[in-house]
Amino acid sequence: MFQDDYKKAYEKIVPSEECVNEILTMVNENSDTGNSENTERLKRGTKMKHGFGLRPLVAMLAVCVMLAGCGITVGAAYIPEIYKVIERISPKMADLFVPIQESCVRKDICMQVEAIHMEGREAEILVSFSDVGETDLIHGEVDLYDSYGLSSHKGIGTLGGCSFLEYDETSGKAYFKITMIAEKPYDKDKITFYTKMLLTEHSEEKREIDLNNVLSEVELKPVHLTGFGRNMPMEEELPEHLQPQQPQKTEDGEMPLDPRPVTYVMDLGDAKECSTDDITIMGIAYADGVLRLQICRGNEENACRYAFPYLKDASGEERPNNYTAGWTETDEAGNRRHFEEYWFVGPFENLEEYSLYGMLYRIEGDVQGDWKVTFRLEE
Amino acid sequence: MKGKEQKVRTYSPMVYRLAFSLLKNRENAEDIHQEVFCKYLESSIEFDNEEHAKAWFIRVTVNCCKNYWKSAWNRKRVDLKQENMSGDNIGAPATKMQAETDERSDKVIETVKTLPQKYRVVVHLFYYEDLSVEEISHYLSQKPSTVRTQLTRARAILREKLKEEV
Repeated sequence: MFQDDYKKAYEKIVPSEECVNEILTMVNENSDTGNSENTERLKRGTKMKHGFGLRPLVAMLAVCVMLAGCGITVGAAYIPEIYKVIERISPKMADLFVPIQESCVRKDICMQVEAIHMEGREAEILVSFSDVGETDLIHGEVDLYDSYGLSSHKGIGTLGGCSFLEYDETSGKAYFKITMIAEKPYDKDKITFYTKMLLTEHSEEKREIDLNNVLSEVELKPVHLTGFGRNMPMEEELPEHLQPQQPQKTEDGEMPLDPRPVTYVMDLGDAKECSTDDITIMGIAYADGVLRLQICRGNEENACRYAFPYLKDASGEERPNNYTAGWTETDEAGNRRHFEEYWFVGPFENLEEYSLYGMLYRIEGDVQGDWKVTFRLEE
Repeated sequence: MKGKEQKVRTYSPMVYRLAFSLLKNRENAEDIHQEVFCKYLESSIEFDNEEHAKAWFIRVTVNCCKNYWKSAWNRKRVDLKQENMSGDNIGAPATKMQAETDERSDKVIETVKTLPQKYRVVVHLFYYEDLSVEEISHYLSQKPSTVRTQLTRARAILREKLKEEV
């Protein structure tokens, strides 16, 4: 009974005439053209078949699939390029990612969230960017800097990092992996990934910063913060002496003129001494268990410059700074300069065993786009 | 070339059905079908007899399906569309009895689809291709005892789900 039913059902499962004829055509061409040429043609044919090349649109629509655990539809019967990219880099990593393949086009550039891996407070997102119009902005030089974010519609604060995976010349896609840590577990129901700006032209320089000139005593000065960042999980307490303070009321009980929080940074001299159109290393000091590195990014009205410092210990292990304080200073001539001070929280018993490096980025072209993709994830 | 053309015509349905039983949808079965015959046309294999040819096509089809499953992408996705076993080109059933038979066949196939992949292949080769346990073990390069165990376990699951003797 079972066998009869099984056979009856499977007798109807036959390859389409088109499919068989395609192979028979190959057989005939094989006899006409000779083996070697035909082999190449067959290989090309197979490759096309596995891509979207030969598949009619109707078939593409018919085989939409629902992803395991996710209500997201994507094309079936082919492997997205991103998986080939990840599998090349790390097959183990590919196993963790859930395909998303939702995209957003702005300014003739398509941002596609390819796949995501979420676990508790941590999320890894694989994203691609490609030109879809006549512009030719996406290439191996493209970068996101820090203009991206992941929100779960509950206003959870996040911090993260972005690494360039590769640029695929065939598809014209630049792939990135973004790692984010939230202050509490993500709500997996509905998530938005956004990118506000793409850096299309930039140069980067890795510079070793001499740790032989570290000051052990340094005067601190108060500055009004224009930005404050951290590379630490949110629950990590900022040491009390580093915490930004709300400005105090005046003796008359009036609100201060500048309401921005205040923090203390190294007082290293006159701002006039640093360039307005480049990055300048201002100084470095180690005191109270904190290694401080101060840089001047110059005037950023017409350019953007960033620095990413990191320490490397004797074993080669790298660690970024824990906190970043940013502020601006204007000299008597009206020249405005942007400063940042990077704090590495120690203690560091043998500082001489460390090396300090700075990745210095100079931005020469960007596209403001506000790309945004919302997708749903379920447990 | 006549020989190759004949082989394509003879083994095309078998390869396609076996791929379908393993990958569970027509699109993927078509891809595997094409891949298997591309391999065949690329190769310079000369079959000793039909048994040799059948064994070769079964083994290559199963290997291509295994490679398909190696991709993380394919492991993670499941079909949104349920394959209609009656097929789009079959037309409406002519009689009530025909309709009941189709429904019955669909149920059997859907139940077999729920089996683990390693059980589906032995079920298909045993019940559709009428191969013996020894033949299956030879084609899949597995011990007969392994095939027998897989078949027994698959039958137990099917019996439980179909509420009938398998």
